[in-house]
Amino acid sequence: MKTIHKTATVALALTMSLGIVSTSFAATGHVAPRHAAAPAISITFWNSGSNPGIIAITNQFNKMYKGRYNIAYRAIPYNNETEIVNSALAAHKGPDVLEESLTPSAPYAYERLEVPIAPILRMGGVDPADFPASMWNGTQVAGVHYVVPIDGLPTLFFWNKTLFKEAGLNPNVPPANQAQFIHDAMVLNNAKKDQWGYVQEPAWPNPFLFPSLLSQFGGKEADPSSRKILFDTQAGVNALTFEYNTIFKWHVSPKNASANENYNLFLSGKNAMVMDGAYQYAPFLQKYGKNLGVSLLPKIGPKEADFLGQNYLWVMNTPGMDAAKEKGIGLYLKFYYDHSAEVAQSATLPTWVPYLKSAAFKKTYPSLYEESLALDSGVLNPLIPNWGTTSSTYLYQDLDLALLGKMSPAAALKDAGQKMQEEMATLLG
Amino acid sequence: MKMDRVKRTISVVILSIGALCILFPIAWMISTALKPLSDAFDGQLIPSHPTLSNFTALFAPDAAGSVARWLGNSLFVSITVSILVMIIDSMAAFALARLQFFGRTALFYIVVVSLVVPFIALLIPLYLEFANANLLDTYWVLILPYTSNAFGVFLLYQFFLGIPKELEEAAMMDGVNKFQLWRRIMVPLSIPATATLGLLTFMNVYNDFFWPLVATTSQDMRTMTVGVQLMAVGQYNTNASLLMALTLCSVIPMVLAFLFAQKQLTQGIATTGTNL
Amino acid sequence: MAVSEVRTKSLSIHRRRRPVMRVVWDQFSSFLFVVPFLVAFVAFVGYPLVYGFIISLHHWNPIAGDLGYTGLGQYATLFNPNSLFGQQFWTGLKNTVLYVVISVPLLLAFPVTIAYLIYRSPLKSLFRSIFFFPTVLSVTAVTSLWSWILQTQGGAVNNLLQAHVPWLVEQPWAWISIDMATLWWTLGFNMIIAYAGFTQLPQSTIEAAALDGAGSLRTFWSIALPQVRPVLAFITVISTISSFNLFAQSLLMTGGGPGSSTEPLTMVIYNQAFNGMHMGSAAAMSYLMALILAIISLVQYRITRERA
Repeated sequence: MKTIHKTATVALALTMSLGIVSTSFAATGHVAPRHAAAPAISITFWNSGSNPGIIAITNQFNKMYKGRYNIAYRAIPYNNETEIVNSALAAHKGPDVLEESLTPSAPYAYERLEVPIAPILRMGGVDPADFPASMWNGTQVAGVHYVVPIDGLPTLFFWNKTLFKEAGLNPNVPPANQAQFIHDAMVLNNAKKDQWGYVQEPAWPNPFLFPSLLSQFGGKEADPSSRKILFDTQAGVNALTFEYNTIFKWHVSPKNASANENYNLFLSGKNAMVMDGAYQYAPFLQKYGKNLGVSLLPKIGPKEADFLGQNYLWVMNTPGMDAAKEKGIGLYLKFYYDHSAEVAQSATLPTWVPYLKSAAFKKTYPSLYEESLALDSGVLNPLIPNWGTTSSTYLYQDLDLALLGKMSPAAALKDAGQKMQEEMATLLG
Repeated sequence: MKMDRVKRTISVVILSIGALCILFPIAWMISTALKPLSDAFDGQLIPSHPTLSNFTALFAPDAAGSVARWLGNSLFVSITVSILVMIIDSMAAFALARLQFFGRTALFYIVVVSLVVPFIALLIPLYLEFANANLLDTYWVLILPYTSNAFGVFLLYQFFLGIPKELEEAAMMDGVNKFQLWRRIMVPLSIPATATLGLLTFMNVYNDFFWPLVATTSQDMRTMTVGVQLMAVGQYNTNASLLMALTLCSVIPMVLAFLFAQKQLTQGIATTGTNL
Repeated sequence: MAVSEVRTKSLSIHRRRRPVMRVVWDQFSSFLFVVPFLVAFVAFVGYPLVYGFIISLHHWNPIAGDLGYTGLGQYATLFNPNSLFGQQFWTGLKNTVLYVVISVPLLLAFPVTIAYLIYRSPLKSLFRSIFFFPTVLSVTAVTSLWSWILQTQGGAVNNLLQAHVPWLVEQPWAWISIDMATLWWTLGFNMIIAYAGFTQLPQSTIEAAALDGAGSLRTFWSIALPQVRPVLAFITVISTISSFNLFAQSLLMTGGGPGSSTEPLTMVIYNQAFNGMHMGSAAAMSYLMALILAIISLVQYRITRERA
């Protein structure tokens, strides 16, 4: 009897819950608009990460163009964008519009999975000259533009003004070149207080720092057209040797630093200077407020350069893509760039020069304004398929070993160069 | 008597040291959950600016989807899978252990083989299968792949082998057919082992990350694990305080399930191990 | 003249009349029990298994599709020490096997000892709950937590020890760190299983041993453990399989570092499949790994069966 009773209860519970959720058993492509009026053209937009600025703008766009266009927005976790998007593409269930970092767009372009973006921009009334030059030039695949910049993340220099003061340095004057940097770091090093002038981590944030320094020494990571690896030239050796020396020669950086140490130690006042991406700006600002110093990277090499973390948007060649959808996307892009102020409001750096150069921007978001100055000397990853992921497997692993003292900088770069060149031969395009 | 007490004290001491080692990271976890992000890893066990903002984020309307919905999804999927698995595996294990049919040995070995293939080899084919059936982003895709649970069959198989044959024979004498034999005799006897399987399945499905990650993309269909990843893990940095707070909240159902099933758990697995 | 006799008689009549039908029906109705499982298995395991194997026989790119038949070529590459993929495979396999060898004994010794201690002590419920709690946490939370606790400068452990042990960036500490975190995380699971085994011990045996003057250590080693041998065997086999599948801890705690010394085979396969987009090669690696694991598990199963 008891068993039957139990079975009945379970069955009842199941049926009830099934009833409630039965709608979710039907496959729907998107959440249908509340007021089902005229059939609005639906455009699926997958955003890598949940970006409040984009979400707000998308909602406003949908409201303004209700009945004509509807952007179905979905956020996907950053670190897993590759699996999610590639699986979906393998099944031809990919999105119409995708926003990710730059280099994943390359393989899609080579496979003709992307739609050239220039015509779409024209349809929407967007002028490419209004993008920061560093983020627009050099992003072509075989001479055709496929991607537009959505937000930028330069590499910046942060310092702790209080620690500078205590060490007798002028808190408002950051080091401007390599010599000054070494000098300041040595002064700030204080073994008694367990304080370091600078923390060079072997692994992260090298993907931001190494390309910056490499460019400052006049080098490039690779040539996209010939697929030749260029980071193992003298410029690369100079860049890596600088990092290496902070640990092993000048001793201004601890040995064996583990992940996130530069950040954690900076926040607990045990690290005076940080060279990292602008994503650290917000947490640092929250902690230190006026005591946080921010500037462009010191010129460790002869040139001024910094690596730009980035998010780009592109349009996929899905089965349902047609001129009407493209027009909608063009309009959406215009809307997005016209609302750059909203982007700035969510503490992200917009990539629209008219707004960046406006007085309103400088006044309302002074910290972002400082950041935007770094765009002028920005450098990007080479637009080679899977560069981001294969370089982390080969290049950054060897850099890791070099900074742990296991390999000399020159040897590490040579080894990485060989492996990467071999991998280049197996790529698409 | 005295020796006994001394021995018990010693073991309590040893266990307490072990327990402290276990609790040490958990203390830090709770501490981090109560701190704002900028203090997250400042090395102080007692937060200097304690805050509940990480927990209220659970209820804040997030445009990426509601946490309550994700929690509901996870619970619904986990419970459904557990129930299905308990039924399906019990029937299959019973047949393998007690009944004769063509291809029985072959089936047994095929089942065991499936345990050693890493999931990543199956991910894309399985995904394509569901994509072709147009079932992505639904509850079907979140539930069905887990229903084939070779581990469960194996577990219950051991258990059924251990049930004395006399009971079965007595039932046969009374003229029950196989199905009634299974339902009236074997199932009640195997409730401890089956409950164990149910609980473990519930935990595994609830905590599974990779499959729900690729199989569902719309905000409403996310599970808790993916949702937490989306909310707390950023492009270049992780919001550690939020991650800890969300994790602590999301484990509550499992802790409750564990406490609820304590008795069945400790009773059950004992008997499954005997006939290995 | 019991009911059973009459029954047997009628049964034998039936048997004489339609023997084949009876047997066929008997087998079929038994088979029906397995049908739900079989359906699920074929649909969600069998089909992907076969499809995956077919992929491993081609150059397969997720976005470009099938790029050409290679036959068993991709498997052959894995045995070629000069090829990049081959080197990666064996490095990954070596790392995985190393990890299995160092972790499984710990995942057996600690949980079993703790289970026995709990079994013989007061406050059972409290201790069981404490040791089991980490098991319910998600891997992201566990690795994030331990990444900070083991930070070289400023991490909780190094602060406590007043040292600068490079837990996550140098060998052998990197493996030790992964081991520690995994042990902390999964200890409870094995402990519960072992504990259940101990609850089956007849109390009389233990008391008899005590009366004979056996010390508690001796009781544990020579009396309690042999009784629960089947449970120990079970724990060993499942721990081996799960250690072989190490993935998240390496990815999130050490990133496979220093260099690629903590990069397990699963990570190599994952990189191949999604970052390098060489799905065919990744599938070949997976099946080769499955074959190796199958052999190991079979050997383990045989050995433990004999001992039991």
